[in-house]
Amino acid sequence: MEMGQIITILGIALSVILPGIGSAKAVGKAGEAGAGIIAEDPDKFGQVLILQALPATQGIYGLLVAFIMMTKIDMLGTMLPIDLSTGWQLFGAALPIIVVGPISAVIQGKTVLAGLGLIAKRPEESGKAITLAVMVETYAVLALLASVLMVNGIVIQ
Amino acid sequence: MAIIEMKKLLLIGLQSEKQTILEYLQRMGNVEIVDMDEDEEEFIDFESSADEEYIDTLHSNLAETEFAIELLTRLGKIEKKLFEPPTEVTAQDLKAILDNKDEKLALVRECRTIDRRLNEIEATVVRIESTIPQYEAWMGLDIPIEGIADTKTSRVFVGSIERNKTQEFEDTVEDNTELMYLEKVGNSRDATNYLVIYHRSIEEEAEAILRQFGFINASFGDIEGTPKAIVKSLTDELQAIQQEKEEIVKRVEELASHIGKMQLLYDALQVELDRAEATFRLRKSDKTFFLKGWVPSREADKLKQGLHKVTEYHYLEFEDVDDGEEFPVALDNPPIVQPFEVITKLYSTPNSRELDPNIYMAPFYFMFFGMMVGDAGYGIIMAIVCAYMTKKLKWQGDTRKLGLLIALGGVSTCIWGILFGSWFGNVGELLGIPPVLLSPLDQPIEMLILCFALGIVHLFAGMAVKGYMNIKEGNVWAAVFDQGFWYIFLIGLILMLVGKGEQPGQVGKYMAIAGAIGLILTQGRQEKNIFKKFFKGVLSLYDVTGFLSDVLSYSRLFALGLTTGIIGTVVNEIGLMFGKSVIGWILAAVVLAIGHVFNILINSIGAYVHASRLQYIEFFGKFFEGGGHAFNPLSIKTKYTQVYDEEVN
Repeated sequence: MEMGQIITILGIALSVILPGIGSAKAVGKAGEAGAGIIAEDPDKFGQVLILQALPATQGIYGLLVAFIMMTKIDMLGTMLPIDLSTGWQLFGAALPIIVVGPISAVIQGKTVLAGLGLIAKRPEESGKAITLAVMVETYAVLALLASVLMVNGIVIQ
Repeated sequence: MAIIEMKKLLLIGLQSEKQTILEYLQRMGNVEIVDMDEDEEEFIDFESSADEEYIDTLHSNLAETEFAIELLTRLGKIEKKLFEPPTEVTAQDLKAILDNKDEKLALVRECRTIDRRLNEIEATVVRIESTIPQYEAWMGLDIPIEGIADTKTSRVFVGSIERNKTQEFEDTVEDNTELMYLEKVGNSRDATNYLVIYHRSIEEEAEAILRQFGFINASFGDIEGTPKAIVKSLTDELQAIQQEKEEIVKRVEELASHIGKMQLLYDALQVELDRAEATFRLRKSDKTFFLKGWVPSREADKLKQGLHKVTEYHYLEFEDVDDGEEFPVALDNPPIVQPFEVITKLYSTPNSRELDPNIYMAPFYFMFFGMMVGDAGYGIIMAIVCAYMTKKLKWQGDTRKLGLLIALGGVSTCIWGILFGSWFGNVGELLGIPPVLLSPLDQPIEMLILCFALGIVHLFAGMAVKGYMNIKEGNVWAAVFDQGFWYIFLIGLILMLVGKGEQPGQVGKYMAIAGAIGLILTQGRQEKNIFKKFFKGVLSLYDVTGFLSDVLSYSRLFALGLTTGIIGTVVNEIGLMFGKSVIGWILAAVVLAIGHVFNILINSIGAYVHASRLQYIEFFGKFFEGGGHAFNPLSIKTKYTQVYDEEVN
């Protein structure tokens, strides 16, 4: 196997691993806090669920970049030969989601926790709690977009 | 298509007819009763007309009923049909429920008793079940426990030693003395139990042996009878109590068939309570009561006529809203826009001085939601499922709006899916259905430009609404300065960017310069100092970065749309991997079904929140103030049933 391929696969793996860990951590924390709120008032399940789902997206974005990279190098069929330089190019293209994904997930998780506190006290303000958390999400979306565009733009000889 | 005009209302009626009048108001559901506590000089000497005792009773009845319903749902094996519309009743029927409420409350109270008894039974069962083994270990003892006592010549007692020492113990006793009698009467888990009798003459010797083997004396307290009899009586008790429990459970099932009645009772009590609590806000004199409130202007006449039919003895007065006075906000939008009201409501209720943003926001929300899911197949499913559920389950109020919102979103999703050639992920591609407009993944730059263009239209629309509001308030110059110049400046910049030195670019350059000069000259107009005016004007140009980041924010339309398509494709590929044999195809079908449903759910949540965000931050930020108080009339609000009122409808 060429070095380029190894580096690419490393990139693919990391873009699933790190955002996945970040999302799992954030969603898990949000779930713990959410369970407390639901114990008090089961009717808030819907609102809690939406908030909890917000930091889950980074993991999905990671998978998405991974999948685009896999398609790019035809990993599901016969893998294309990739030279060292192209390998690094692909790895670099995955970096935005590898780095921004997990960090934004964890930070968004904190915003979600605060938002859950808001819902516990004032359920009618759930729209605002969601908006606050979505503000963080923006940067994960931008990272995803950058990664996808970069992977898309790389030419494999 | 806007915020409904309101009128203030003052109603004076007879105490004796208060009930009837309030009932009428509640059924019409168009009067919000305001509290007369605040700065009402003329009524300050009058007391609140609430009957607090009655309200307390209602509260406790309501809590009991809720408890009963909860208990019956938990224990009554009620088949909860997931997709069942609520029962419909007429307002008269609901009211009639309370006529013989004592009879129903007796059922409700029975539930409370049942719950208490069940708890007792539970505790007793646990107690008996843990006691029985204690006596079972002594089953061989056939003298009553109270009969175990020393005699004149011998000592008689029971006790146990560790199980593994049993044999040795018996041997030792046999070898050493004939004046000691042992009888093995039973075993517990790790000890053997004995009845021990010895003659007082060998007391020291016997005690020494017992000590040697760690004999532990047992005592049973006050209980009487042989262990066998005790175990039997305990078992009988257990059986009796189990039987009682079964009977109670049967009774619960019987009661559960009345759960519908209890739910009706609950709703009836709730309606009654709402009305009774409204009286906190009224004032009374000896014979009359006073009520102040808000009523939509267009319903004022209807209310007047209606009240005349209810009673002749009342005084009703309407008054227009003073200039600048806040009033409760009710919205009136065409049916197609109504679903979008939930989105605005989550952000804030518009205040009574501004425009209702829903009608401007709706087309954009519709468009953005669809773009972010962007799959024709998913769109069709969402539209059909949500529309069907909304109709079938007779959702009301905000739930209904949300259902219709997602259904409309589904329509939009389908349209964008067709434009982008996305059908259940890559199925369209596999079947060779081409995208009508463009394929986002193959033409990312075009797609991004489309997103930004839509974003610019959205932002400009927001500015336009603000401009319109300015003009409506008579600030024509504010509209020219704050919105007009920005339009010229921004359109100029965009033309420069797109035209790149060609003729439109040249035009753009002059427009941008003209706009910028206009802004520099006008944005500081509130300042008195000429330098401050200038600086503020120059600084205002910096807002262009805000505009830029707003526009870039619309790239999420692309990114989220991408997510749906790619996850859908992944699901399909996994499904296809299985599809190589019959069992494989069944597995594939399962994978496809679960995968696509998951994808629809996660992405419609994503689209919902992000489309909302684009409205809240980017669009509402341009003009919307919010902070209004939503019109909250005294009306019939129910939880389990749906009230149908012929007279009102």
